[in-house]
Amino acid sequence: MINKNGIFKLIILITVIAMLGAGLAGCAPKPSGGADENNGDQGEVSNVEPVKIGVLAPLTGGLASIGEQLKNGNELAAKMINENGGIKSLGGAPLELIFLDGEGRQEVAMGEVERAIDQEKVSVVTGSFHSPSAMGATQVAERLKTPYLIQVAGADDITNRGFNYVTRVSVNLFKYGYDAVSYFDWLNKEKDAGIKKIALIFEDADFGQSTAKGSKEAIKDLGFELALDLSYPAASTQNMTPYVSKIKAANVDAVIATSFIADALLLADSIEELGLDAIKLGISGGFADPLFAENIGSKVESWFLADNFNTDIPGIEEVNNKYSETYNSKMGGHAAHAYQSILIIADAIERAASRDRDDINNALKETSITDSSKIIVPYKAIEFDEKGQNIYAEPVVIQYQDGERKTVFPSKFATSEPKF
Amino acid sequence: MLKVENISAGYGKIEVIQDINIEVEEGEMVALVGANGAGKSTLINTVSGILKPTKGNIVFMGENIIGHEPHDIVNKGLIQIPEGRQLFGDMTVEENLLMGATSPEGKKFKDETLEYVYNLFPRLLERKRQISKTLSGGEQQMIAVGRALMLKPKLLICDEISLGLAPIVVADMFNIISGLNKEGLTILLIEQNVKRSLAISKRAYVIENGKIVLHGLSNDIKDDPYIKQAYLGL
Amino acid sequence: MNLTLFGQTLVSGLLQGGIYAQIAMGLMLGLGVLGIINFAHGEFLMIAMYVTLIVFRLDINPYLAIFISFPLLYFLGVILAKYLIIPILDRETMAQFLIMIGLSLVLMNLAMIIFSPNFYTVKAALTGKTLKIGEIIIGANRLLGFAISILVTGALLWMMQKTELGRNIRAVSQNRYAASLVGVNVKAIYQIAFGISLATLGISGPFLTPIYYVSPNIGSFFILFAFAIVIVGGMGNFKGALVASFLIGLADAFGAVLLPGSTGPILPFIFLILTLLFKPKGLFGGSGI
Repeated sequence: MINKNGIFKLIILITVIAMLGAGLAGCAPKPSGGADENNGDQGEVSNVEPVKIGVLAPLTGGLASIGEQLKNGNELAAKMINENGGIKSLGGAPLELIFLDGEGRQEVAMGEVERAIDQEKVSVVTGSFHSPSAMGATQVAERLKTPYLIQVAGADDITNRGFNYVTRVSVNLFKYGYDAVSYFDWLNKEKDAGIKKIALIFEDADFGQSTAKGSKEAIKDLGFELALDLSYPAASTQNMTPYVSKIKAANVDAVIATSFIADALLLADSIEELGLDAIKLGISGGFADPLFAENIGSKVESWFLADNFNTDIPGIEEVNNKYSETYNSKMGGHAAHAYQSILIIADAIERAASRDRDDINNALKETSITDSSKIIVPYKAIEFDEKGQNIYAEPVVIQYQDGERKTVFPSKFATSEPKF
Repeated sequence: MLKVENISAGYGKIEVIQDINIEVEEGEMVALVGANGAGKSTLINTVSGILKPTKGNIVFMGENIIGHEPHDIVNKGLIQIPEGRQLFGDMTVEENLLMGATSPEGKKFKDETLEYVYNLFPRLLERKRQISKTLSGGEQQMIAVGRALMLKPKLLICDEISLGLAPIVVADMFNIISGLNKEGLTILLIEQNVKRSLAISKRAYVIENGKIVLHGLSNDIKDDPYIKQAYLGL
Repeated sequence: MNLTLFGQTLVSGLLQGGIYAQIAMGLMLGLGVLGIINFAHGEFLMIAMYVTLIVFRLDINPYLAIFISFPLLYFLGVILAKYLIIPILDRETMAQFLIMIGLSLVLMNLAMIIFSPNFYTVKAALTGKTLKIGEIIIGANRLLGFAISILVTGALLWMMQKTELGRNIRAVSQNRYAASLVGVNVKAIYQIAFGISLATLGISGPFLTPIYYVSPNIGSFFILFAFAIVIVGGMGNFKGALVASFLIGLADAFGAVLLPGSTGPILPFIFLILTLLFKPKGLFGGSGI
């Protein structure tokens, strides 16, 4: 006979541990993907010694589907460059990508990057999506004095540690949060939106905290009123109604939300249910996930979504078509940033005319790409500040209009007017 | 009615009882006496189907019941009042009794048997809505007996029903059992209380270290010099 | 806090508590009778929710999925009890733990393989419909989910207290040795009880799916609260669990509204700790069911 009392104590123990842990991590196990690690088709083989580039991406594990997109984007860019004659200043040296599977785990990512630098002798490292992996990997690169170009990982601290060898193409989280408010400021000025009181609701881990920090600063800078500052643990929140009730009771004009997909869906449902009357903007993460729109249906049109990419951006048709042809899927933001990163690295190596890591790093930091035909991400230029952050990386605001994902802000990339 | 033939059984590799032979005729009251640890409970659990014997046969009402599930054996009318009463502690008195009426035979006579049990133990009627674990030891033993009766036993095995009860309650209990036998119920009495068991039973078996060492008429065993010295303290 | 916000929070907490109740009840039934912690309880809810999704995708009213999920979950419970759980009942607790956690992971990963890790939502007739009482707004889907939950809980309580099957289940839970001695087929009761434990989820699934979403890890969200409720309500105490469900639901809702930042969800947890400190057997005392 089983001792039920003993079991009861065990349940208590487990529940307590689980509740403590709930805020720290989701409980989903990671499926093991089967992405192979070979380097794929990178174009014609040249007899000049190639320039090796390490590309970190979560090719297996729970983030494998994103890893696959990253891999495709990197691969396609390398192929195009190699087909066009490789690095001319190095006698037409082709780019050789060494894919490093970080599995979405920091320690694995760090080990892989160290291996690539020490053993594969790569000249430069790029990639990663998972912020903790990027944090660790850049630390390794900094120690081994190897340039590291971040493609999409958003954590602010990646470029805030005073590292000399780190650069980032994409928007960081602080900027996402800040520009969400800038967008409201623009709506007020250009569209007479009359927004004064803003509520923030965000998941309470690094993702949400970082964007909220940006929003709060912008609210102060641009003279808005921060009416509510709500955060919640994504892994253990099943009922969003109380939060929405609170927002509703505060009579705000606009809401900025930062969520993962599950909580984004619950939040949108509760907002609909309680009939919250405010302008809503969701930042990246769950809101940028195509599943968000798929699941909440036509209600999605009442949301503004901040993302780092949209397929309606002018001038990307060629790459877009090439991508669809090659991989039989639509190019998304991850793949676009990956593609862009390889272009940036190729440009730096071209200018450095060297395989030396320091030479390439110096060239990378002096990057100035302003020719819009060389930019497929929605940034008007690519230049890095002293921390290595792309000065021109700004989110685009997207709105679903008649089922189409339209860019409504900034004006340079807008294909439609915002509706609210 | 019950024939235990060459039964050996035990727990794991340890054989607790060996080559036991016992017979109970219809209408009889037979006692199985022995010290604590002699193998009485092992034998009873084997008869009830809870333990599987390593060898031997158990024939009840002409049918070999080896390998039958405990609930199956109960449904045939071989009922045990287990040692330590084994009530459903969080149920009321009446619910405990009604648990006896779950067998097909018990169901058929549910109402009249319940009345019979309440007549036998008026105390239980007074407390029928009380949670059984809050009752005294003697009252709990009444529930155990009553619950067994609700199953309409053909053979009733009483396992240590005097254990842990006050002397006056013990006397009452033996009177009740004796009375049930006089009404025609076949009873196998398993007891450490050798003196009282021998006094009310017709025949008796003495078990020691897993073996039957003596059997015969209770009157004769009572006078056996070995028994007198070892069990009766005379 | 104004009156509207208070009312809205109260209603939201009660509705949420009611939804937790039915999940906790089933968990407790399996726990109380078989003495095994069903770590996969949430994953069985997930199965019922995927059944609802499939029915919905076939353009059939998702509520009708109950006619599949209810019997399906019942028989799944009976079969699992017979071939997986009864054989391990006499094993060490740690071995049972590993097997049940393993079952939970297997089911989750199966769902991931079959349905992908994506999130799906189901629209029912009541989706988007609301009920307004004064200034307080109640989602019709939630209200229905709540009503079904209360119904299931009530039916379960009634069955346990008033029917012979319920009495037999309680008997096995309180003393399985004695139960076998009064002719109860203990193994059959184990199977039926576990079947019922999962069948309650078969009822919940079709009504919860339109409120939430389906994904392979949806079960893990509910299971945590279900365990907390079993602890607060007292082991084996169905009525206690019902009250505890409401208390936890309310604590969760008021925590979100009253406490600053993301400290809200700590309120049910504080509640749990206080219960353990001052009433370690649960607010209403444990019993053997």
